[in-house]
Amino acid sequence: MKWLALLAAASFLCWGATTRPEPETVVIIGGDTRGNLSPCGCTKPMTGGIRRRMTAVSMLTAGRDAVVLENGGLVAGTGRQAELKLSAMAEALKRQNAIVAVSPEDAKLGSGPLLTALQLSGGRMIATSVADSTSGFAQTYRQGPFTIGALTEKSDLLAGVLGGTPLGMSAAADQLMRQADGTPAVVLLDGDEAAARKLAESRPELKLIVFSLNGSPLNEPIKVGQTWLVTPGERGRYVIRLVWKEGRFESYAVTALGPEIGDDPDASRTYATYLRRVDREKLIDQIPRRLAEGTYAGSKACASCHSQAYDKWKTTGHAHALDTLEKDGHGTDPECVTCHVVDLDRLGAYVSKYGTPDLASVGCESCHGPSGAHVMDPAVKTPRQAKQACVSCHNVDTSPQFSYDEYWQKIEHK
Amino acid sequence: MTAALLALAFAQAPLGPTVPAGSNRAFAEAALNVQDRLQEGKKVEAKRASEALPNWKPRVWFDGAGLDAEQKTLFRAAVTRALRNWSNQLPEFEPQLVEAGPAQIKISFTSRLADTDFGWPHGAATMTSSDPGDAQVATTIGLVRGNPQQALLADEVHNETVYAVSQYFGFGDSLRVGASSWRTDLPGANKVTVLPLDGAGARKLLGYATEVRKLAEAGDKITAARPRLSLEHTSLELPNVVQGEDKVFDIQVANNGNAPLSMRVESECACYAPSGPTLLQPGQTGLIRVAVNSRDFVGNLKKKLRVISNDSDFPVREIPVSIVVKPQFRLLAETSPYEIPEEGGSTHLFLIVEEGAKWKPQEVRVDGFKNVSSIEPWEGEIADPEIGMAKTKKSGYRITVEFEAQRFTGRSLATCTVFTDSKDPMFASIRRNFEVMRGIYASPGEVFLGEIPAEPTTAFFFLSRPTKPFKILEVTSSSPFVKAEAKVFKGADEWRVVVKFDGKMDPGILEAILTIKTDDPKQPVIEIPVQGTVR
Repeated sequence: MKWLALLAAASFLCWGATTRPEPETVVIIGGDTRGNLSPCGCTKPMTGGIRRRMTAVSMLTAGRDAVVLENGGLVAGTGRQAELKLSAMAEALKRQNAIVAVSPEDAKLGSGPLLTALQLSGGRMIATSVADSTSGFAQTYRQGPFTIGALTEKSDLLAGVLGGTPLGMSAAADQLMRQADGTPAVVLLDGDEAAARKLAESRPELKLIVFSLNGSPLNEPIKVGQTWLVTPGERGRYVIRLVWKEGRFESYAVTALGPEIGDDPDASRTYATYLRRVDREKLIDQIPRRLAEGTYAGSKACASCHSQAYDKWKTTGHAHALDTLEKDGHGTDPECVTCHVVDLDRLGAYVSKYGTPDLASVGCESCHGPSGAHVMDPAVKTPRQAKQACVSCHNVDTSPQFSYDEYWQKIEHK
Repeated sequence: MTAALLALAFAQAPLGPTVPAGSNRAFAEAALNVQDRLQEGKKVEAKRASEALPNWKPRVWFDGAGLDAEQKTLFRAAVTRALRNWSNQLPEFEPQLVEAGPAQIKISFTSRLADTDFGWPHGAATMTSSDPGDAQVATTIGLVRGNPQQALLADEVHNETVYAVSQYFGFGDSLRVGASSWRTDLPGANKVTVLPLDGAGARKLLGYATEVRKLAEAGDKITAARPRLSLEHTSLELPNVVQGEDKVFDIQVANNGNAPLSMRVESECACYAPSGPTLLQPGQTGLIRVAVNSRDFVGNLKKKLRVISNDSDFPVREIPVSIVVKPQFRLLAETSPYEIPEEGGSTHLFLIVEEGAKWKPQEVRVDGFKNVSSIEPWEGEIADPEIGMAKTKKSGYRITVEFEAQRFTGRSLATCTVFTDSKDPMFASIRRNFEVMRGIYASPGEVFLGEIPAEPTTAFFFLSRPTKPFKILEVTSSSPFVKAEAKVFKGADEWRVVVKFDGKMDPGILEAILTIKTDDPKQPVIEIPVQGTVR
């Protein structure tokens, strides 16, 4: 008999014959969420989000001793929404006792939001590259068998926000090793693979270095001597699971936070609170707007001449894009609304569902541009190349399976 | 001499049909088993081997051993539903659900499967066989899965059956969540659906199986068709480019096999747009051409290309590609936060422009506070710590913002917008926020406690006015559950306010306003909101 295993080796089917593991520590690694608290729900399948992440961490630790690490990059950019996100992330991570690296990207928000995050995280935000932080950030943290540090080349930038003395990479690594005092040392590194390799070569006593990568996690960990180099990839879409057993790491696995992973109820409450704060602070009214290429006419104005196109549009997801968003609870979240209405960032465009109903949802002018002049005189062309407008919203993050040819069939009109 | 004659005989035998691209290995192996036997002139064995290929009317064995009566009814219905979903998209497919073997597809159950590496049980195990004496697909489904362990649901049985049938037809595994040939071990609320395109794919695979079966029936000698995909690169690291710069790269592919190679190329990311040959004849080479979208994506783009082909040994090949796209511009603030003096003052921003940018700034505007702003060409040394760039000689433009005396106190954002002559919306207006502060400001500007238990909880914030000492005269709270106390922190220009929630409130939303009186006549009162949820 010749069997081909599709999912696993033959040992896979040894039901009931599981051997109990020796004492070991499960290590879960996330990072570089960059404010992607929730997968954008417009096109399935989306990956990532704190609600799935918390479920995944619970499942992957399976009641064992666990250490959860977060390699910074909780948010991206500045502004009030980023501050609210930082709070939500810190609160969600606290529930899993995560040790969080303070990264220069997060520090851009300034000391106030970072202090809030430090308190919400249960004091588990660390910055080894800043000595004597006047804001109360620890340099290292002991959790399970490990001593964990967070290193960055940009310690000047960090020290400016946290208060304290910036340390170079070498001095920060010295500090970590001193505080580790013989316990296995782990580095959360604000740096890429090359920086991680350099650090591993100079500090072979390190057991693990977590680095940043603008892409998917690696299929296998990089091993430099005895040091493992791993990355959780970008945008909080994955978590890495390692097992620490008998003084070494083993069992590397990458879990994509896909829709098959349910939402964690605690993290869902945290996320709902975040959305409430976004709504209450009316962030949508505060986004900066720039001049448009012309005046807006609204989708209805197009119907008199382009009735077939209008009728087709009404049957598409575009025509109900704002309703879809509202059902999902994101109807006043400017980051989401921007792709569900006509030109939220332009003067004279969408303001609110009631104030500008003909500019709600993805309308004709989302792709063709403000067409007031065209309505007055059909000889005047609409200002945009409609074909090029798709990717402003159907990008790799929000619409990972976008293909112009396939998607055009859904909205095809003349 | 004999060998030469044999070789000649093989060379003259017509080529067998090539396996469709994207099929699974068991399917490809079953088809090639038949072709290999025919090539060897073993007609009987070829005919027997062809029985392992899928057909339109397979027997599906629902083995309910170990299930109680209720589970049997529920799960049998789920299997029936899955088969019906396939038949809806593929009317020619007429599976026969039976209670005993032999069968081509077998669905059985066990109390618990072995643990995954993660320490919780697998949901199901699907095995395929190219031996005609076995079930071609045997799926064993665990009655528990996930952590915490959850009892098997009928929908999960449905999903596993849909997947088992897809494997029987010969589908390769799909990465698309919810596709008929996608599966997960996690407890799943995601329902798998069979789409028209699945029906079309199955029809193609079954058509191919029928063709091979007919050849086995005929028993004529053929040459087994084995296309072989050869790639010039297994990974690529491309030189840096500037945002917007056209960048196209090629990967040479060749078919080193003896049959036509069908292929398609996909990218993991919209940053790479691949195109290339879909069919290569034996010995033929072609080029996969990949255009980098360096306009919409900047940074280190480290993504994979996937080549899906009918090379049965490597149906999917991945090519990691990385390129660094340097942004065309950086807009940097000299100081953020910028503290506006009493009488007003000025600060600078720098617009650094990379060589190759085809636009020039026209005017500048700063929103948020009363100011006059201007822009002029500039050259000098500047660091960009946000992207890890040390002080380097750069050229571009210097923006001067002269703030008038402001009535505003506290800390807020200003937005600098540079309008350019570019027709491309991406570069037509360039924007950056920077912080501005004046007078005494709170950091953070509110106290957010998050979700807290009904227990005493402490938080703190700072009130600062750098280099200008001030006094806090009194701190009061609008809530009986919240108290606050201010103490000088580093110097009299910075105070630390400790906020204490006494834990005596009933569960619900906690909201309070802290009113802080100062000795500054321009800011005699500062109000700080406190928020949280008591559970």
